[in-house]
Amino acid sequence: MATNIATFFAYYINLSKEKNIFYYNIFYFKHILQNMNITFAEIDFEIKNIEKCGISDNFLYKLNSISKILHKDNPVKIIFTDFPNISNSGRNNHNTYFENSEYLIFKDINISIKTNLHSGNTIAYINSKSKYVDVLFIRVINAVICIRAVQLGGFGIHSSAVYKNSNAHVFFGHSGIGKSTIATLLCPPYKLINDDFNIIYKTNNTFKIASSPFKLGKLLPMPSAQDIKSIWALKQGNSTKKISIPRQEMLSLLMGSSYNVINSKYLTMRLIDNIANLYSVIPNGILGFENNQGSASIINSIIGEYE
Amino acid sequence: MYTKNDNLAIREIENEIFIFDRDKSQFHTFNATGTCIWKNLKSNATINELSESLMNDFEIDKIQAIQDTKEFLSSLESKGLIRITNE
Repeated sequence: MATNIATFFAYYINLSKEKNIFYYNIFYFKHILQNMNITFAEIDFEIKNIEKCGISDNFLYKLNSISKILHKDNPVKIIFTDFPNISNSGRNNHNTYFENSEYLIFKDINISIKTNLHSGNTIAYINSKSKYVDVLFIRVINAVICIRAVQLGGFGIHSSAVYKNSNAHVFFGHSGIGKSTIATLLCPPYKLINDDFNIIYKTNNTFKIASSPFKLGKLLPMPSAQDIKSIWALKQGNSTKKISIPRQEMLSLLMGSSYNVINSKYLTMRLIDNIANLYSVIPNGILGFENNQGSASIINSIIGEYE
Repeated sequence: MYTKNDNLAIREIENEIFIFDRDKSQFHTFNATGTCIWKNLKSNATINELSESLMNDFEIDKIQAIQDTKEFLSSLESKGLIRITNE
């Protein structure tokens, strides 16, 4: 019974006899990002010969549920194929990239991505011989989504996010800082968007947040995008309080938790602009917090001020 | 001669310079003094020229301006943000 995408690929790759083992299209990140009520779950998957795959109905349903976005612009195509003369052995130390005013091209031994920096048209190839094709897939999807987010005024961020009545609050920081903990403290009354990685984007002059479509390789049900009302850098301590910090420091913290396509100077500069823009619009600061149930009401009170 | 690192992504936001060094994945921000020096840092700039811009903008004396400029340039070089050559 295939319940996650890794298993799904394993089934498909084992059963297909075609050279192009797996092929589907994922369309219209632009549309997703520009429409407030459409989430990253709604991605079109066009799957060939799916009846051969032995996929569970439940998983097919999930795939179908993300196949509602059909636009003719800005397609993202991902193709699983044999990379010629590529071995799975050895370290992946042959990264190359090229960027001009139009394209960003990235290539390593298992992935090749070519993105038009302006239109967002993207084509990616994944080495279907890799043992880690599911991991590669998620890596590519996250890269593509984050690139589009930056192009559309936002960015991907290592964060947890919760919402209530369409008001979302974002908590970011490095692994172990307490992103999941704070989400647990706040839910309920809040609902979880994602406790590890989220996508911020801008539409109609409003910053929105949506869950990344994947967590630990599984497709998750996701709420619609929500309005960001506050964003906080987390700091565990022995008291729960908000702490104001200078802009330079906050921008530096945000930069440190954001997904940055370092290969691209253009996208990196856009990322800095987007972060500065977010800073100027969305209330923010450091949220010092104590990891106990008693701090939940204090945090509720702090973030509630901004709703 | 001063050569700024090619791999820097540089933005000026409300009169402050923000730099992301893509080689080292490091983010740098400059205060007002640093921003002034950075913006005037052409390849053939001299310490005197850079110091004068500081004196004009911040009303400090020449000795202080020269000292601040030298310290800042040294800091930029040690962080790999610029290369200084004797041409």
